[in-house]
Amino acid sequence: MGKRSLAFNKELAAKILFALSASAAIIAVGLICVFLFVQGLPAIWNIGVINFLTGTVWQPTWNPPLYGILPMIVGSLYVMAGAILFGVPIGIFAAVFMAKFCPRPIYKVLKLAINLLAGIPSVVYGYFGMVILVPFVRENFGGNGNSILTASILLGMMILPTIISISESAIRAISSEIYEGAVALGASHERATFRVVLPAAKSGVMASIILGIGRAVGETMAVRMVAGNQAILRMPHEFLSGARTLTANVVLELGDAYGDHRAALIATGVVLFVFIMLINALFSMLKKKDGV
Amino acid sequence: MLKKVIKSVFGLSVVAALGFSLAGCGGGAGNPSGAGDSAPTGQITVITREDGSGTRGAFVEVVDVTVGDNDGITTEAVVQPGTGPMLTAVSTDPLAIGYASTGRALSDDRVKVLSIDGIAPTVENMLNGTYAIQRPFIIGYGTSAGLSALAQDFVDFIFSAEGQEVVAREGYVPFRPEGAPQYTSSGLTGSIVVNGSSSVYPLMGHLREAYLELNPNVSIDVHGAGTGHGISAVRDGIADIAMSSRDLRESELEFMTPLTIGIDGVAVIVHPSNPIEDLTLEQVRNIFLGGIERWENAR
Repeated sequence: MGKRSLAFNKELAAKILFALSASAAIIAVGLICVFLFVQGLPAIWNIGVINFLTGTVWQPTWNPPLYGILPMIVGSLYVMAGAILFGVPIGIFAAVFMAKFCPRPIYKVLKLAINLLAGIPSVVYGYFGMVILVPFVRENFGGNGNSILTASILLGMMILPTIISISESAIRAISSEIYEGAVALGASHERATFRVVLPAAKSGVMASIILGIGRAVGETMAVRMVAGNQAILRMPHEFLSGARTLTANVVLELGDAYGDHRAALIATGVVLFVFIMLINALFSMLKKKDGV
Repeated sequence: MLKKVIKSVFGLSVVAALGFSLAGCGGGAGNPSGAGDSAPTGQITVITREDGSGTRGAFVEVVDVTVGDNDGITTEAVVQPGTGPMLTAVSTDPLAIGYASTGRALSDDRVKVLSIDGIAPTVENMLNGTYAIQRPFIIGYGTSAGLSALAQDFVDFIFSAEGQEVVAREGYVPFRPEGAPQYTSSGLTGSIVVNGSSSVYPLMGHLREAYLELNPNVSIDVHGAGTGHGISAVRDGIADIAMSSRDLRESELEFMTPLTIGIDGVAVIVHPSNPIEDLTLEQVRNIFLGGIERWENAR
């Protein structure tokens, strides 16, 4: 009897332990949500939702202060689009190459290089961007080098490992019968890969792109070091000028800010949070579609 | 045909991926390729600190870079958070101009410090007031909470002959150049937290070291999270002492007692390859207002 209840207690304890571990992530997300919204929403309310989201002037130390974050929202969209432009084609082609065309010795080197790329801390990317990419863009394209273009190139590099490794496993997950069927019908290796296997892996590839976008939107350190950080509403043709992203806005000024300024920065965090939520929702929608 | 296209695309993307990862490895050691002997002709890259920075506040106030009563630094200016990023940014752009604490700027040979109206930011010139761009280094503590015995002892050390000598040795103007009392170790133990301005931070680090040599059983944590951050940390009771690189505001004086520990200049800095040695205060003002946009017009 005693033995059995001991076993029962052990079982129960283990259950509780696992349940707690499993809920840790949920609790963390919940706490962050509560913190952000409790601290950020009143600020948005005070500034006015419309003024805050569509205001084009950010001058927090002025009297009266102006808190418009439209330049930052647009800035985030630009560098996100730029990162897609640079990162996605290279990433997908590299993934196809690694899954379907790569000789074994080269594969080992490539895989190593990509894992290395994934492991480099973003501050190192940022420093690299500052001392190599910024002068490179300045000398070859013009402007002072701290620009939307520079940030896009750097982010394109940073999202490569995400896109390559997830796309590669998506392509590998397509059963070989699909490929062999295409070849049996007379398609060449290239045609079968590009017209049959890659379309079949579409949703996995899309998922990799969306995760990459998530990384690009959330990236802070590296972007802040090369983007110039001007809170000015830019037009797309001004890609050689600098821009400030939502993340950069928060991290640039949070150290020195207090009072309303600080609240406005946390409110910027709320907008960023909603941004990321939308991207994640898109991701799970695609996954669901894939699962069926 | 398709095969050829695919092959060349692959070649490119593989080379690109490899190149990126290799470049990522070797990037740190590279020379800034912008560093040349080119004379400064072209668009000035104005680099500023972030809104709320103590250095920015002091610079705007002294140089009068204002529109109405507000901070008027051109919105086209590149924003760098912190003294370190500012120095790195200026050192990698031949057309850049920026500003930083003289203590930090003079000891960094990657940037060139300009004279203002013909006067270099030396300790003598700041003491006799001829170098215009200067501001106080301030420490502050919560007025109602006061200082702990240990924190008081550390503050006494800062204002002693030994402490003020550290201030002078690091290139700042001491608050009490002469006649400061000698410090004798009190033998206290415990810990102090200091937080605030990234400009005061290096000096506070040296003061800490000198103090710990005399008081080995004490621990002092010094953080340079920014003037505003340090002030709110003291207000919230997280830090004992705040560091500020500007005068405290009315609203801050309500809960904080300030003490001036020294005076620091704000140096106007350019890339070492820039042949300019001297600008007038008015030229500096116009450059940062966005009125002078090209180096040709600055001379």
